[in-house]
Amino acid sequence: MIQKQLTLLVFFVGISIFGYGQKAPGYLGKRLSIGGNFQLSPAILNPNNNGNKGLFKFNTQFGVTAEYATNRHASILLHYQTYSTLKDYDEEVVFFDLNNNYYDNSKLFGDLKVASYGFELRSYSESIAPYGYYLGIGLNYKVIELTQPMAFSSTTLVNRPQNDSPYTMINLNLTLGKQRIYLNKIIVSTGINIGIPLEFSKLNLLSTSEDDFTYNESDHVQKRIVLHDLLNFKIGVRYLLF
Amino acid sequence: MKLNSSALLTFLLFSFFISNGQEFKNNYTPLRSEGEVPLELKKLSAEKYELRKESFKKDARKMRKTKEELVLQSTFAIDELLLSGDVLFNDTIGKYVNKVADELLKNNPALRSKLNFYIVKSSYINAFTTERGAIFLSLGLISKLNNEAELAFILSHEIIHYQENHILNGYIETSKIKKEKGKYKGQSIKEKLLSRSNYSKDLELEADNKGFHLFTKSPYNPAAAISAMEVLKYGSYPFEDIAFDYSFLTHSLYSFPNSYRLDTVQTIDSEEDYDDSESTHPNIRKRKEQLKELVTDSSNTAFFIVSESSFNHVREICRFEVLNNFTSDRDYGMAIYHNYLLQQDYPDNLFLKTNLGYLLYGLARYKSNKNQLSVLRKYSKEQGEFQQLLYLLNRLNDEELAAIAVDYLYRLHTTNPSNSFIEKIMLDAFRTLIHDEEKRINYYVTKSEIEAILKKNAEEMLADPYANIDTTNYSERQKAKLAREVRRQQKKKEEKVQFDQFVFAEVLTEPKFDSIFKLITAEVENISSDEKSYFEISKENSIRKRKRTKFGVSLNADKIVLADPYYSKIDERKEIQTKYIKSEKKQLSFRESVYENAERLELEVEVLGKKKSVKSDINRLNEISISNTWLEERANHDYIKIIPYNYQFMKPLSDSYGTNYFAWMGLLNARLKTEFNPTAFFVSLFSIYGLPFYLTSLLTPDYATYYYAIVVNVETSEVLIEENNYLSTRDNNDLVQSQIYDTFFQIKRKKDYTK
Repeated sequence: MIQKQLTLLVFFVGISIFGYGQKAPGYLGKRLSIGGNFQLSPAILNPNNNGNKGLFKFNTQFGVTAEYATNRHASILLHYQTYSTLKDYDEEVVFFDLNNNYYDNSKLFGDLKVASYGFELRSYSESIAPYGYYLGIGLNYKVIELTQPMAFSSTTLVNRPQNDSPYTMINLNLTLGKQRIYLNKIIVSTGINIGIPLEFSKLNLLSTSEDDFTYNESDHVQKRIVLHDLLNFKIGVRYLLF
Repeated sequence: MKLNSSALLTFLLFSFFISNGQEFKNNYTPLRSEGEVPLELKKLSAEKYELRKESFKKDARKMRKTKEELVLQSTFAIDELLLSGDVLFNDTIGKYVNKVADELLKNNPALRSKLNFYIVKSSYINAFTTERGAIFLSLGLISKLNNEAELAFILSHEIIHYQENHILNGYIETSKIKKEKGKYKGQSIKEKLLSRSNYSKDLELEADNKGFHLFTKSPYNPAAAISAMEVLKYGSYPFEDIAFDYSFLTHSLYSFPNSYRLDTVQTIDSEEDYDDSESTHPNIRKRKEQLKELVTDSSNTAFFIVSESSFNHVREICRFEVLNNFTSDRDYGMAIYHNYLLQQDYPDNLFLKTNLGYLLYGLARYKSNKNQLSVLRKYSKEQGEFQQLLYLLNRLNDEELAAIAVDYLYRLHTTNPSNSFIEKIMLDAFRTLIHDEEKRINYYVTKSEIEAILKKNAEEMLADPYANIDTTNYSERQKAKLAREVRRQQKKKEEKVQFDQFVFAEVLTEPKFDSIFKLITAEVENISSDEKSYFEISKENSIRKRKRTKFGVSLNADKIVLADPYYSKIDERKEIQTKYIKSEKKQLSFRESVYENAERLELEVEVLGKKKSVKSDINRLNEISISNTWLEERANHDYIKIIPYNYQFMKPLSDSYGTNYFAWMGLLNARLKTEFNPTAFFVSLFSIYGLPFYLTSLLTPDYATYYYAIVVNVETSEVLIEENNYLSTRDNNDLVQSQIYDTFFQIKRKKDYTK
C-alpha cells in the first residue's frame, strides 16, 4: 500500500518538475517543499480520541505534505494524513467484557483509523507561489478502518451487521490560508480547511429511523468522518528543497 | 605668461561667441550637471535631520516638535528634489545666478555663505526658498526675464524669505490654523483657507518690500523690480508674441488653405487685479503698487552688473531647455511655437530642426491615433499669435500632418544622413503615412504635374452646377437655401484641392525618396497581408494576457540597468517619522535585496543609484535625469506607439551600459489603522472559533503593500514587464525577496511560455 502511495507521489512530483519546471519562479528559485502538518478538528457533535465532546474538545491529525509551485500563482500539493478517533453508538449497555470487567451504563465506542491521500491545487492570486495568502481546492481519498466495540460480541446486539471495514470515501477540500517563509528555507503554513463529501447524502447527519435490521454501519462511519472533516484548523511546517 | 595669454584668448573667443549667439548657430546640446556633487548630498537625509535637530533642542516642547516636523519634511523633500535629476549642479545657469547673488550680498558674506542657488528643469515660472537655504529657480522663469536686474530682484525676494524665516513662520502659522489655536479658534474650512492665504500673502508682500531694499543696495535699476512683475504676469505665454509665418511648415510648392487660418487672434489678457482671495501670492496690481511706492531713488541705472552677454547667453540656454521640456511634456503646439520663435534667430540650428521634425512626427502619430487632444491645446482657450498656429495644427488632419512630417524629416535626413535619430523617426513617419493613413506614392504629385492639376481644379471651381436651375418660382427661403448650398459646394471644391498631394513635389522624383517610400510600402503590405481580424487579435491578446499572469514573460536578458529603486513606508498612526526615516533605511535594504537576487540568477544589474553611487560620479545624476525623463515621457505616451523624443538622449546611455533593458522597481507599504467592525465581531462571536481570529486581527495592524516593476526595451520603447501587485500584507523580507526574484526570473528566463 505504502509503496503504491510513494509511487503516486513520485509520479506527481516528477510530472510537475518536468512539465512545469521553468514556468514557476517559486521562492528564490525553489519550487518544491516537503514537510509535515498538524490539524485540529472541533469535537462538538462527535467524540474526540478520548471519547469527549464539547466546544473546546478537539480531534488531532498529522500528515506529510509536498508542495510544488507550478506557475507564478499556483501550486500543486500532495498529502498523506492519518488519524484515529472514536465512533460512538447510541446504545448504552451494561456488560462484562472478556476480561470480566463490569461496565455500567457506558457508551459504546468503535475505534476509527483513517488514512487520507489527497491532492490540492492552490491559487496565490496576489503573490508569488508558495508565498502569501492562498485558496486551495482538492480531493481526499480516505480509507477508514473500524474496530467495533467488544460489547458487540458479548451483548444482545447480535443483529447488528458485522464490521466490513475498511470503508472508503472521497472528500472535496477547500482551504484558505497563508504561508510565510523564514530564513529563505522554512515555510510556515496556517489555514482553515473545510471538507465536504462528494456523496452529498453523507451531509445528512441526522439519523433516520432505522432498526437493527436496516442499520448500515458504512453509512454511519462515513457520516462520522464527515463531522470530523467539516472544519479543521491547520498548521504546517515545510522545508524548501529545490 | 603663456598660460595667461591662452586663457585670455579662450575668454575672448567665448565672449565673442556668446555675444553673437554663435554658440547656438549650428546646434545646441542639452544642459547637464557638471563637476562635483555638493558635499551635503553625500550624507543620508536621516543623518542630516539628526544633526539639524540638535540646533533647536533647547526650544520649548511644542515649538521643538513643530520645528522637528518641518525640518524632517523639508530635509527629505529637498534631498529628494536635488537627487531627482531635475536639478542642475555647477551648470552655466546656476553659476551665473550665483554670481548675481554674490553681487547682491556683497556686504553680507555671512548670509551669502548660508545660501545655495539651484536651477530646476521646469518650464513653469517658479522660484522658491527652503528653510535650509537652498533657493530654486526654474528654467521657465529665467527664459522670460528681460535683464539681470529682474533676476536680481527675484533673488532678493527669495533671500528675504530665508532671512526672515518665512518658511518656518508659515509652517507654524499653518499648524495653528489647522489646529484652530488662538485667533483661529472655531474657524470653518473656508475661513481656514482664507487665513492661510492671507498670512502667505502678507509674507510675500514683506519679501517684496524687504527684498526691494536689499535689491536697491546694489547698483541695479529699481524699475526692474516692477518689470519683474510684468514677467510674472505674462508667465504662461510664450516668451515673445509674433505673427506665425505659415511658410515655416510648408515649402514653395504648396500652402495651407485659407480655411486653416483664423481671421483674428484673441489679444493677450493683461488683467492685474484678479481675485487673489484664495491665492498664496497677492495679485500683480497689489505687488506693483507697493513697489511703485518704494521706487523713489532713480540714481541706480544698471540693468546688468555681472554681464549682459552672460545674461543673454544664459537666457538663450533656458529657452532651448524650455523647448526641450515642452516637447518631453508633450505640449506639442507650444513647443512648435517656441521652436518657431527660436528659429527666428537660429534658422540653421540642427537641434531646433530635429526638434521640429520630431514635433511634426509626434503630432502625426497622435492624430493617427485620434488622440490629438493629449498633445495639442485647444486654440479657443489660448491668446495671442500662438492661437493662430494652434488653429492650424488643429485643422490639419492626420493624413496631411503625416505627409508634412515625412517631407520635413526626409529633407532633414538628406542633409544629416548620419543622424540616426532623424533617420529613425523619419522611417516611422513614413510608416505612419503608408500604414496608418494608407497612402501610396501615386497619390502624390511631382512638381511638373502640379500646374495641370491646379488648372483643372480652377476650371472645376468656375463651373457652377446650379447655374441652369430656374429659380423664378422659388420663394425667398428656397433661394436662400440654394445660395447656401452653392456656397457649401464651392467650399467643398476648394477643400477638394488637396494640398497634401503637393507636399512631396520637391522630393518625389528623388531616387532615394522613391526607394524609401517603396521599401516601407512593401514592408507595410507584407504586414497587412499577415494582419489578423480584430476578433482574432483580441482573442490572442486575452490568451496571451492570461499566460503572462500565469507564467510571466521571458526576456532572455543577461543585463539590465535599474534606475532609481524606490521604497516608501507610511504609518497612518505616526506618519511623518515612518515615511521619511524608515523609507530611507528600507530603500537601502531594498537595493541590497536587488543585488542579492541578481546574483542568485546570475543577472547583471547596474543600479543608477542615488545615495551611495552619487559620491564619486555626477554623471550618475545626469543618467538618472535622462532615464527618468525618458520613462516619464514613455509612460505619458501610454498606448500610442511612438518613438519617445528622449530616445535620442536615452539611446547613447543604454549603449554605454551595453543593454537595451532598463528597469524601474519600487515598493510602497502602508500600515493602516485597524478599525472595529461590529458585524465581523458578532459573526465571530457566534461562530465561537472565529472570535480568537477576529480579536487577533483587531489587535494586529493591517497592511497594504504595493510592489511595482517596469522593464522596458529602450530600442523599441516596448514595455516588456509591468508588475503592479497589491498585497494585503506587510513588507516582510520574504515578500520583498519573492517579488524581486520573480521580476528578475522573467528577465533572465529564456523560453517564452506566453506564445
